[in-house]
Amino acid sequence: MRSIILRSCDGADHVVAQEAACLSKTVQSLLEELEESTLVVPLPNVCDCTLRKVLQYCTQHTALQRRVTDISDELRTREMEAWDKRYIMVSTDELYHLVMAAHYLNVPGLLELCCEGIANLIRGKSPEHVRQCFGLVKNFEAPEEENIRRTNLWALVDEKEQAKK
Amino acid sequence: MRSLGVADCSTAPKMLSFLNGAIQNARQMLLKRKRTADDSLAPLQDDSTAAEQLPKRMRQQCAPAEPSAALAKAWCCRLHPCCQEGQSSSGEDHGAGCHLARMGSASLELRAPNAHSDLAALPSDVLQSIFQQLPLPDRLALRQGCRALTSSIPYGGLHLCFPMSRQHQQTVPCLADRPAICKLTFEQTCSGRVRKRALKNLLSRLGPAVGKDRRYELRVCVNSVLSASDLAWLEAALDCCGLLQHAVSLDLCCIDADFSGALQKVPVLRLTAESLSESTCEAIEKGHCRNLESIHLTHLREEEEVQLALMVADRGVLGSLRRLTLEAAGGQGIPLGCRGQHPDLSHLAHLSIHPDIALCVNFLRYLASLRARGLAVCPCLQQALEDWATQRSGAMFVLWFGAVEDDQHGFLQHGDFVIEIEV
Repeated sequence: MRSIILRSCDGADHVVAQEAACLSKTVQSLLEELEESTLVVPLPNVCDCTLRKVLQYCTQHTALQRRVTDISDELRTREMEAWDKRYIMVSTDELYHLVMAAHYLNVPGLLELCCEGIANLIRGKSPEHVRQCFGLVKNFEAPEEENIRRTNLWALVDEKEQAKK
Repeated sequence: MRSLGVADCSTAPKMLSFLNGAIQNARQMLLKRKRTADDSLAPLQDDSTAAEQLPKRMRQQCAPAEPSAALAKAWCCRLHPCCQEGQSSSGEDHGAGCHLARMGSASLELRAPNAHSDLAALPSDVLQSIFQQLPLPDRLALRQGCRALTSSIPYGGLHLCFPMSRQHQQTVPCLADRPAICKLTFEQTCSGRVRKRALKNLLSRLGPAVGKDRRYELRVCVNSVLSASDLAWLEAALDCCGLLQHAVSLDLCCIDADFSGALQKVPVLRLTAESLSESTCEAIEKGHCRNLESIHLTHLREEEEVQLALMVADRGVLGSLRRLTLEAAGGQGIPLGCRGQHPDLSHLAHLSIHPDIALCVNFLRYLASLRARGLAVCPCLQQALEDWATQRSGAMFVLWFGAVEDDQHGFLQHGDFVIEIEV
């Protein structure tokens, strides 16, 4: 099996099977554009740690997809889901870097998984909690915030009840 | 993105220049060390051809951009275990284990405290994808996060799933009070019969959309097969609540939906191919849909469906139509041979045809003549027309992408292209 080298922005090389690397459509199109003999693909937007994590995903998914004969589709899907669940249990910051890398490298499955991970972090949280979790700075003027809050009131049952009280 | 300690340190320019020098030196030294280490990397030796085949010139080109400090700063995280090791001491102590060490960790102590991830800086499509996975209250909470998120997350869509719990029903707003709502979606979330009473309750909670100029896009998505009477009931219920009158477009995702009544009231129609029922076509043919200005047909799979759509779009049948979009289901080519006859599309202002629909030469020639008379076409069709125009000298016409094999229409398969030979 052909291997290629993916080079992160900080110069770290990762040797990876081409099949796994090509889960990234960006890498795939870069390989198509570059000469046949090219084995090093520079990825100037991904750092070493994040690239390692992305490649972990690609390698695992390629390996699981290849296991067509020994397990059923259902079992494979379940295994993949369980692995994905463990894989995405990372810190907020790491998840953020991962989603940016997945977007740049165009790995649809990973991007979807990361978006789901971020959505899970947001789910059920108040605006203040969302701000704390993602380090957002509240830059609204007081009337502006009040206006947005009032517009959203109908959907926020708790706040509605609080307002009644 | 992140703010960095180096950039913030405005009181120490001398210190900065000293550190920059130190970083350069450390980087050069570490790069040297890294190259030595690279040469002895086991995986590279395993795949010996990899290193050997790589020309030296290419190696130099692929080396990380110098100095790429800004890039590294923007991307280097200190949360990874291997990076955390490098936080408090110089990179030399850690060798090649930490990527920060490799790029010159003399700057490590100067880095700002760990900044949180800036959600608002995510690409808009990523943000949309996150947004779509959240229920309405969470979407709104996210919009309240900061100004950037308020502007980047669209508001104004009301997605109502039925059947809906009583608790959720209480949160459904009255449309008259919500002028910001410009997209209204009804979606059946589980298969089986549509529970009329529940849906009627939902519709009655919405109330009439008061206001003469009130306009919104209406989408009805029913995933179970509805009987003719059920469909008639659904249409009447939407009509009764005044939802059809205020709809600027109707997006129907129902199997074999007969919404001929609705078509009379809505100027823009988006249908799946399955929804283009005989009775809908009949209603169009009979001239019941004089307001219809745009049709968008999705999930087309067969030539007959495309031909039916073109027949409906004919000037004689639907002269009011200005915009036609034909979208194939994707993944399969649909050959479209017009057998010397084609519909009259001279009344259209815009035409989009999915590249999986392979057009025959006669039809392309006709479209080219319409194009010359001012018909706007989608980029794919434009490209196909240009390709056809440049390659028509000679007997062979390279037409369209798609994997099609159809002897009946004179198409031959040739790689990724469909070729028609003119005889």
